[in-house]
Amino acid sequence: MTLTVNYLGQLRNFAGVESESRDVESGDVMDVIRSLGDAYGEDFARVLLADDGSLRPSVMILVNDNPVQKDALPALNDGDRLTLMTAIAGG
Amino acid sequence: MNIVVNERPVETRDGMTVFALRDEMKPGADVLVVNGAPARTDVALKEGDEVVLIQRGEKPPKDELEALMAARHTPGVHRAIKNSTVGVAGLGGLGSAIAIALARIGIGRLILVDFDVVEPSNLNRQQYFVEDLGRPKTEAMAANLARINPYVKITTHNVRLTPENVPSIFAEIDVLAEAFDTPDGKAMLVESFSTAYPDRPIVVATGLAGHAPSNTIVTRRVGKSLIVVGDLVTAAQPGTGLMAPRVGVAAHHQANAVLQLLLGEEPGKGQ
Repeated sequence: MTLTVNYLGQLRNFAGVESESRDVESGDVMDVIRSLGDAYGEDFARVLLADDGSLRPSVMILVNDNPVQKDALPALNDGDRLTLMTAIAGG
Repeated sequence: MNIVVNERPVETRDGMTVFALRDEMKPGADVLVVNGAPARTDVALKEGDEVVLIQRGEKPPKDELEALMAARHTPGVHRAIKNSTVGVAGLGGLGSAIAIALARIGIGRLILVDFDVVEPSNLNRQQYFVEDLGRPKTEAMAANLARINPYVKITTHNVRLTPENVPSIFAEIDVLAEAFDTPDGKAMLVESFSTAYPDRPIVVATGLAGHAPSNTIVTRRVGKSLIVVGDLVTAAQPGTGLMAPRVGVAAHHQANAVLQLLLGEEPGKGQ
């Protein structure tokens, strides 16, 4: 299936694009993130994933423009829009 | 014709000018504001105009003060936001400046949340005073806001926000401003608030440290209800501190985005 994936902040810099159409084999968000890490390299993956492979608490994920909870990620469907970003320190 | 003078309806004759009105109603007034803009030369008034007459140095009666404070707003803005409730999550560099900006424009009600006390390293960017040191930020900010605009209703919660208490604390707000320091806290707030209230906007800031160019901080809509302010990349870290100018830029982006949302406008559009 095909997703539209949007990258913000550091992820955009590592991916080199702001948005892209991407064919994926799995509708599992974690599988998609791991495949993006394989494609865009260690620095990209490290922004999103901790050493144990889990999502970092600072990561924000939107599916079809709605923020979703990292501990209850929905299954992705063909045509969905996945937005990935990470909050950074300062306030 | 009917006009409004110092927020009260007044019937006056056709052809009335602002100078003539001053001479009739408040001869000592030396600040004249017509429809939110200062009138330095005489202008003819027309039906529906909103006029404010202020005498410098005079302490106005309490029932007139609110109208006089709002004199420089664009007509209609004050009335539109007077019935609004905004949540501010965190009262540090971002939250303290957001709260003050929103109080100055006369937001109806603010719900302010922080668990910390004011300490000396806060004063480089946070809107507190030396005499606030040691006080809970909620208490200090509520007191400071009351000195700026006593007509804003303030509710404070001196607690740490968690996924469990976010929905109840912010149940009554129209817009939420995220003003945390930690990345994990920012993400937690977005997830818990947006899950509880998917249609209510939240304005988040990320990427505002240091002294990089101000104009790299922008406002953008990232999701249906998620507005993000900042350069998205400049984190607070050793060598890149948090300082009043750039934190203030981001905070006022957030406050303006809140105002735009309350007025039904699109934050960041046309920038």
